[in-house]
Amino acid sequence: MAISQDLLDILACPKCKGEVKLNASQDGLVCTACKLVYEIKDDIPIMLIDEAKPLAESA
Amino acid sequence: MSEAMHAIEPAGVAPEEIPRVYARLAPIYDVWARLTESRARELAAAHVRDGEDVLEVAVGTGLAFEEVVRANPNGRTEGVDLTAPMLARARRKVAHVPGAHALQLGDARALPFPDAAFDLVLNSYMLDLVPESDFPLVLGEFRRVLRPSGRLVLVNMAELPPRLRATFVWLYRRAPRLLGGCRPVALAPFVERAGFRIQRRDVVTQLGVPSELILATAR
Repeated sequence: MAISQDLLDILACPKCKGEVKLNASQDGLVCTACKLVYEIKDDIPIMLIDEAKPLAESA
Repeated sequence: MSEAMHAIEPAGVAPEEIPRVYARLAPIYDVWARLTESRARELAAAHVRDGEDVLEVAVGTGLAFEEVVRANPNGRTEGVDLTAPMLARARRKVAHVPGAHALQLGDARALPFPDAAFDLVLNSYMLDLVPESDFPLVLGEFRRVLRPSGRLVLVNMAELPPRLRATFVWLYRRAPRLLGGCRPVALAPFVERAGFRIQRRDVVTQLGVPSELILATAR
């Protein structure tokens, strides 16, 4: 079960509350403003600032 | 709420310890929660109006989340929790329940949603675990994600009768992890200060453990 567009529409970056976008490999949600990637593990997005990875590393 | 009750500060479980403590509690949590908290959760879920955008913060093992999703087949129900093993249980509970619903790992102090995204925010048995110094931040987040006419339903451990209170404090000081780190809290003033108007407060007692339900509207 992939992340639905509906869910993406409502999720926001927990840090800046701005938009997040699915990355190319579909395993993370990217906030371009904060340069952070929120991983998706077992179809559950990990929307925790402390566990987000820097954008350059995994984009 | 008496001042004495107000004074039970979260002593035993540090915020950074909470995910680990609850990961361990996950397998037995439902048994305890069904015995002492199911009625209050049912009453909280009764505030759901079908077709709305609903957020439950701290879904835990999904005891209320399942009822909320069932009550909202034409709306959208989102749930967040800080602990992955609890969320995994919640996901299994709602896997085959019809209606748009999704779960995310998230922190009540920094919710992963835009402003004014929800009609109803539900939050059960979380603030009785959180330090009072975090109440303004958490309640501010609830207010932020609610629409101007939005409703907030809070369920928390209420003031205990004196006879039980002594036992509770004794146990809480010695084995806070056994209680999940929860203690009774006096929330109303914090809720008002965060930009809500309290519409009603009810106390439900199950197996001698009282829970307080607060219904508030954004103002």
